[in-house]
Amino acid sequence: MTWRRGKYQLNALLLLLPLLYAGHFWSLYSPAPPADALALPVRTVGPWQVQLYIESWSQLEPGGLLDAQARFSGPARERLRAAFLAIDDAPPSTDRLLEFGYSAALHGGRGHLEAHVPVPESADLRGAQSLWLTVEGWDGSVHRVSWPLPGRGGGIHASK
Amino acid sequence: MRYNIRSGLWYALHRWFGLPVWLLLLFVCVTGTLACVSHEILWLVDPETRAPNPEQQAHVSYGAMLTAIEDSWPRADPLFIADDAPYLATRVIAALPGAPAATIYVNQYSGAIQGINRGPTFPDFMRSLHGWLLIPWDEGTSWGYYLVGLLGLLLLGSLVTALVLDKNFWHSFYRPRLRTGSPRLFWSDLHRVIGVWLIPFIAIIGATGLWYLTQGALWDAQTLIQPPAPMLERQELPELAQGAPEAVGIETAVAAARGAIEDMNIEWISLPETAYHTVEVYGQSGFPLVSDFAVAAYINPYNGAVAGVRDLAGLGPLQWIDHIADPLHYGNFGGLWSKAIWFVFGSALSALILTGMLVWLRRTARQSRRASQGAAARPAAAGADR
Repeated sequence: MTWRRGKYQLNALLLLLPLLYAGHFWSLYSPAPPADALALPVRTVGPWQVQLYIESWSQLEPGGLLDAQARFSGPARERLRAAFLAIDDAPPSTDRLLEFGYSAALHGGRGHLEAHVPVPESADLRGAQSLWLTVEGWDGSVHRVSWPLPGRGGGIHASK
Repeated sequence: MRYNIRSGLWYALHRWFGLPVWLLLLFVCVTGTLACVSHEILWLVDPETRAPNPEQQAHVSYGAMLTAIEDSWPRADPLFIADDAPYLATRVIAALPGAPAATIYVNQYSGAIQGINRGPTFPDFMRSLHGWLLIPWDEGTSWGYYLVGLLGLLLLGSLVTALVLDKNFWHSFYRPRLRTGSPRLFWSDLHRVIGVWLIPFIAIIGATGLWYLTQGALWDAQTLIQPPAPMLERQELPELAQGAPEAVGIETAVAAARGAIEDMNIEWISLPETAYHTVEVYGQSGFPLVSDFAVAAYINPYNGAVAGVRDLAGLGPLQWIDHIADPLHYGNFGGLWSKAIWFVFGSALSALILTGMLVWLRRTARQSRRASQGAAARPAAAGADR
């Protein structure tokens, strides 16, 4: 009898979902990269220093989107025209950057630049490919820097 | 009602559509009802979001608003401007140090900054809770968006099976019957009367819900429903040996948009987030039963030229559905009066789900009682049961 009367009340458990994800919802409005974001080493690109953070790295799959945040610093911050991220074997040509779509361009407020980079279906996330950052200055100059994609699983990826 | 095997089957179907996830359905209906008047609820409790205009002044320029914001927060990067309604303060969504998506409320008649919310606003929260149960959009469409969209199917299924079960439903329009003899009869009659009055509303909410399900799948398949905003080419960007280029003022961009689209009612402006973005000016023109993004003018921020225009004439069938779904689902096409009607109907739909559950509980209660009475008459069976 209890099951007969109670079976349709079980879906109350689904109402726990919003509770489960409430923290994530609020984090969308918080400035800091999530605690589990992967901080890549600070690099110099042109006259700027850049720090990249990759979110949810361990859950990323080929065909998915890599969510990244960037913090630029340098004396000539306002001279930075645009910055693009791409996952590739070789430095992507400036024309190819547009194929990745404009979501792969760093966008948002100056203090909170973010990008959503399509991960190619053929991407090798075990460390063979690199994350390329292409930065343009307002003078038309183009600068590139790359990070080897960090290995996953064992923490150390095979060196070639 | 006459029961036979056929109606038994339809009754079972009706039950299967409604009961197994009735609490989720009720939750989504209640949050949706609140979401459709969320700006108005906020208006009631938070004076900063109101737009009093005692001296009947005209709308100040967006440029003046942005200047006022820059004066208060020099490091603010305005990202979006939303003009929701004449009685609601204009919202400027800006990235501030420590708040990537703060909402600044500016009185559009006096130009005064009235307040700032550095986190999600009440409407943000209600819409996210209702639309996808706060489940993230990290990888494509949130699966909460699918879950809620599927409920549209349940609504339509419940509606169709109810109409088949009660073919004389229209009697309830002119001769509503509420028998008070027993709780079960009362809840059952109330369920029927509310349901009949809600036929068009359920059809609209169910069908648009089903559209959102389709929309989510299209997004996941990376199929663009609306043409993307045009982006500037690299050669269109200025090159400067020193400093950064001066963008044309937002007033120039808005004037260019108004020049490109006749009678444009501007509802939303997206300011360039990269050097390649245009100023995207969205709104409606003429036809009110479309979303706030139905027509658009894209303005080159460096020279004020129109980089692209999207108007109603150029819309394909899917794009029409996409634009019509929102006002039909939210009930915001006529301003306050249509929102009020949607709020009443949404509350009634919540009551419909609740009464459906009550009917079932009373029915099973009766069946349980009969079953246990039957069992008492057969002591051997009763003993086996315990």
